[in-house]
Amino acid sequence: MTIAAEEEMPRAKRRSSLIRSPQFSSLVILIVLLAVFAIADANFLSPLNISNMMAFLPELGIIALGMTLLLTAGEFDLSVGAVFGLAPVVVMLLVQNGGFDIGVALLAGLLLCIAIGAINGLIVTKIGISSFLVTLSMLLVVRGAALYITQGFPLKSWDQPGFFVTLLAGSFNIGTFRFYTSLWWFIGLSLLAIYILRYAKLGNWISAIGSNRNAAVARGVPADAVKIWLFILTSVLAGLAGMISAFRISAASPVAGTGYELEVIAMVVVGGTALTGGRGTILGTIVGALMLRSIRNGIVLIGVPGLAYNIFVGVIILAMLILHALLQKNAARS
Amino acid sequence: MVKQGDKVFLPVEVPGASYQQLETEGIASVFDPLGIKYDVVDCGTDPAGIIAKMTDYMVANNPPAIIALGDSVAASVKRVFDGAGVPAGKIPVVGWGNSKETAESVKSGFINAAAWQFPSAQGFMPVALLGLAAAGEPIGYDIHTFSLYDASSVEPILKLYNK
Repeated sequence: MTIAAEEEMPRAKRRSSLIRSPQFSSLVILIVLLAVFAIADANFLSPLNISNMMAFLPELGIIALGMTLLLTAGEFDLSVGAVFGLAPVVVMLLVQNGGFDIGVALLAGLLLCIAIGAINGLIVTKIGISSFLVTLSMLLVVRGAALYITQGFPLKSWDQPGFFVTLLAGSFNIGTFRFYTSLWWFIGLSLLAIYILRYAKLGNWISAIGSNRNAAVARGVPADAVKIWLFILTSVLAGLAGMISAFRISAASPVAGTGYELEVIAMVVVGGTALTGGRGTILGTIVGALMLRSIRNGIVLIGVPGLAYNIFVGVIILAMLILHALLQKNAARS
Repeated sequence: MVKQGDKVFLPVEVPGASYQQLETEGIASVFDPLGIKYDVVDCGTDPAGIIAKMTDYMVANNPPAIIALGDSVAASVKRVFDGAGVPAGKIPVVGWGNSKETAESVKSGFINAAAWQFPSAQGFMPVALLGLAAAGEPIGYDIHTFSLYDASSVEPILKLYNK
């Protein structure tokens, strides 16, 4: 009897901590949202609609993974949308105008992303300027560079069948559903990010830096190095997502990724990661990405007028955030 | 092709831009008396976002026709139809045609007709005429800045893009 009671205790504790977790509130909200849209329009859960939703979602989701880690460490990156646009543009210019091999061009694109991330990280940590301002400036520099080197023209992307197209933007069918390989990238990178944030020492460091940087440094955490690498990782993931997108739609545009930075931050925060740092959840970010994509898709399906989409998206996100905060408060009280 | 009560899909990348306002005014002057409705949809400028939003709209509304109010949205029609499972020619589509993708879509039957603005000539023709005027020579003709092309007249445009 006593042993059974003792076994019950940790199970109850685990259940209670799960219910109190921010990602649980987000999941509840997502389920409600999916149910509402599914009832409102039968097309919402159709294989065609789900396939279309899942074509675009992983590209934003991949950027959101990097942003989650960075936000957990207490920093922003507003240049991700611009990097998403610049990386494939550089790759295509190298291939089309420079005569480079596609593999070499992709590598050069990723190296450029590393450089952008490193510059962001070094300025934020070594000069001590807010990441909001640094990455806002970087957004302008990177977007301007993309427009300048293309003279504003979109580039025809690489659409020859081959290893890299299959690797980044190949498609496959599961029954009547059609998915892209970007989904595998998103799943694989999500698992890696979950491991880092929940089970690796690095994850503890990231959370500690975001909670109290000085205390973390006092305990020997290399805060600056961790932040610089997180800026690099975020930038690389944004560039990778941009390349995946460019291959999928066969076009590299200098204006691709416009506004993604705010969309991605919304996904991360709606999922339960604290905007102020110290608390991050990859599962929550996945839920947040699904939620934002469902909202954007659902409002079209339920027949909102074409010029009123943003009103509804804004109101629903605000309502979700309020509901999230209330659920969190109730969970904390209980 | 469209009848009273139908709602035509009008995607645009920059809602509020002068071209969107004037095109919508023109469309309204024809459609309103006939009782045909239309829905201007803000698709944004991001290419992947345009495709996602237009595909969502197609799946949700199954519109009877599309008038693409800008070049970016017109250039996305083929990918949108592929995503929404709509075969070429199933519904009438017209729109702006100053892009290779749109010209290819006209050729393959996804778009019935597209507007050509002679973009390669519009820049230097007025300058040439002004040069003539400055030299005191008479200018006795207008510059055409607009025409429609369809599958039967798309080849010169595709050749221009493939140069």
